[in-house]
Amino acid sequence: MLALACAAGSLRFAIPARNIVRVLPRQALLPLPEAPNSIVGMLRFQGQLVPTIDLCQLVLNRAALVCPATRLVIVKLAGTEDSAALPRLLALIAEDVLDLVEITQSEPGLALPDAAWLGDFARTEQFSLQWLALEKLMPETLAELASMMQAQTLAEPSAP
Amino acid sequence: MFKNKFSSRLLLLMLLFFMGFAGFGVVVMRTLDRVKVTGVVYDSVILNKDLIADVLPPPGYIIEAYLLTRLQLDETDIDRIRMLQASGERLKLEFVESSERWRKTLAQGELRDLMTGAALTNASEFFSLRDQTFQPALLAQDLATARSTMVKMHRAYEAHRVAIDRVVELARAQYQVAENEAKEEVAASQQMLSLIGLALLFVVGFVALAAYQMTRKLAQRVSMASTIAERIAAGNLTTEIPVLSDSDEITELLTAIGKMNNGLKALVTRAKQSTIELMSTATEYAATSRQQEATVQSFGASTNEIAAAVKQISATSVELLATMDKVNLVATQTADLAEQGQIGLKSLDTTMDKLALAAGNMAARLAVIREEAAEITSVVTTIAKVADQTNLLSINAAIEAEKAGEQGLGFLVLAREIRRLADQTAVASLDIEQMVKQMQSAVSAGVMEIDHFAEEVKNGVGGVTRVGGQFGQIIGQVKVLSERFDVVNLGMRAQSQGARQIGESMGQLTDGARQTSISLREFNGATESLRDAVASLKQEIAQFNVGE
Repeated sequence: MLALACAAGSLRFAIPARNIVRVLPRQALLPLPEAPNSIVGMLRFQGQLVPTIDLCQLVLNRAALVCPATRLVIVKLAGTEDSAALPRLLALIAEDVLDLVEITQSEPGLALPDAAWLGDFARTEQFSLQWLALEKLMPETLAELASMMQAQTLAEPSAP
Repeated sequence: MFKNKFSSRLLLLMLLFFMGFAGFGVVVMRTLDRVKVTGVVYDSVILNKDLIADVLPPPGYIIEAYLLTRLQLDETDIDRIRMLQASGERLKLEFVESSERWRKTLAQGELRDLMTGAALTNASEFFSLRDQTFQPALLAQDLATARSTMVKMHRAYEAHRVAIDRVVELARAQYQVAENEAKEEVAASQQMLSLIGLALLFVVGFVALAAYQMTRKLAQRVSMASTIAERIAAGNLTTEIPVLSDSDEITELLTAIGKMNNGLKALVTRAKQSTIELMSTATEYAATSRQQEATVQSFGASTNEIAAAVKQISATSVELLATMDKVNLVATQTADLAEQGQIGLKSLDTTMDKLALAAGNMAARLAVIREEAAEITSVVTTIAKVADQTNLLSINAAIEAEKAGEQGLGFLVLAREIRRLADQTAVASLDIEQMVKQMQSAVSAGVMEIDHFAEEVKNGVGGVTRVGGQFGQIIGQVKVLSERFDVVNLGMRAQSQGARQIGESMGQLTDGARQTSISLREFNGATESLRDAVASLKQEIAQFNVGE
């Protein structure tokens, strides 16, 4: 199974390639005041405002390094399988987004209540990493808010 | 004016005597002057003169000449005539002489007029007739002319005789008058002399009386004065001196004795006091001199010590002088070294300048290298960007290929290859970047080093200049020091000399102290004898009674 390897500091994570919409260089975000630290702003992508989470902020409680390998990974969340509706998207700022890896084996990891977004352990032929539970990255309230914003965006067809 | 003094009185007496004698003398002199015809000598002179006048024919009367001419006329022998003529010539000369004398001697009057007038002119006429006419005629045997001339000559002689008779008459009358006057004068003088003799007797009597009185008074007072003086001589100074009203020499003498007495009294009193004082002083002297002797001895010891100290000072100053000389030598050597150093520093200076220049060149080259590196970096950055984008592109492509399923498999492989290439490029670019960065940092470090070096070289140059300046200062100061050393040396030498002199002086002083000590001992002896002398003086003075 093909996955995008990324990292937060020394911790390495894997994102399923099928869930990835696009990998972009870092760019300017719309600020989102009063938001939790991990949500660093909103990204305008294909006429949608996509909430953006800094993985480093989430995991290590620090901002991601400013570096060419630090990139924006736009992922498609579950529940948006139907093509009629706009897909539910989430942008992640991750470090060392440089390669795609073939995951050969997966093992169930520990389910921590404060870090629900940590998924199962994954292993390649060379090294092991951890899947990111993309659905649980966004807090509930914010997820709803994001949905509302997406709806608003739909209502206004002036989006670029 | 004339006080009642002995001297005044004596003077008065003398004056009286003198005046008496003077008056007497004047009277006698005057009488003698007037009546001097009556002397014995004068009488004998007059007698002889009268005898000659009686015997000889008078020269003023030409009777003889007249008689001679008469004889000549009667004479026939020519030789007799000539002889008579010669006598006549002599008589003429005598007459001329006589008439000349009378003209000078006689007082102005009738007598002189006759003698110089009628008598002389007639005689002259007689003589001129005789010499000019009578004598030549007679010699020529011309008797007629001689007789006629004789008649003329007789007339002249007659006239002359009349005048002479008149003269005799007048002279006789004057003589009578003078004789009478003389007789009267002598009588008057005799009266005067008897008067003066009386006056002299009176004066002598008065003087004798006065002298007796004065002598008596004088003797009394002198004996009184002598008594007083004897009392004083015996040492009794309490004698009362009588005060006399008269002011004569004796009074003055008494007053003087009184003053002397008082003076002696004061003197003796003072002398008594003085002897007491002298006694104590002598005692003090003795004590003091003993003390002084001790002091002098200690002084001698002190001077010895001082002399020793001065000798030490002298030795020390000599040593110091040697040390100063050494210091001076060292200073001079230092100055030489400093000069050498200055010369070395000058060459160092040029080397430093060269170094600074080289550093500048190096810095410039390093700057070029930095620029080149910057260019390389920019190129590498571009390459890295391209690689990054390629990587991104390949990732997205791979994702799309994964999404495409079976159809995308080949593309997926291709994308992987591309990604690998991009990764390699990125790694290479990273390597280059790293290397360039290292080079840049090295260059920067080099530039810094060179800057630092240049700075140091500059500092070094400055330091060298400073050091050079300091060397110069050192040289200057050493020179100044040298001069000062010379001065100090001089001073030290002078001090050394001075110390030596002081030492010598101290030696002399010691000798002096020794001598002083000896002298003091002698002085001590002298003081002792002084005390003895004072004691004897005291005894002597005790003989004087000052009525205490």
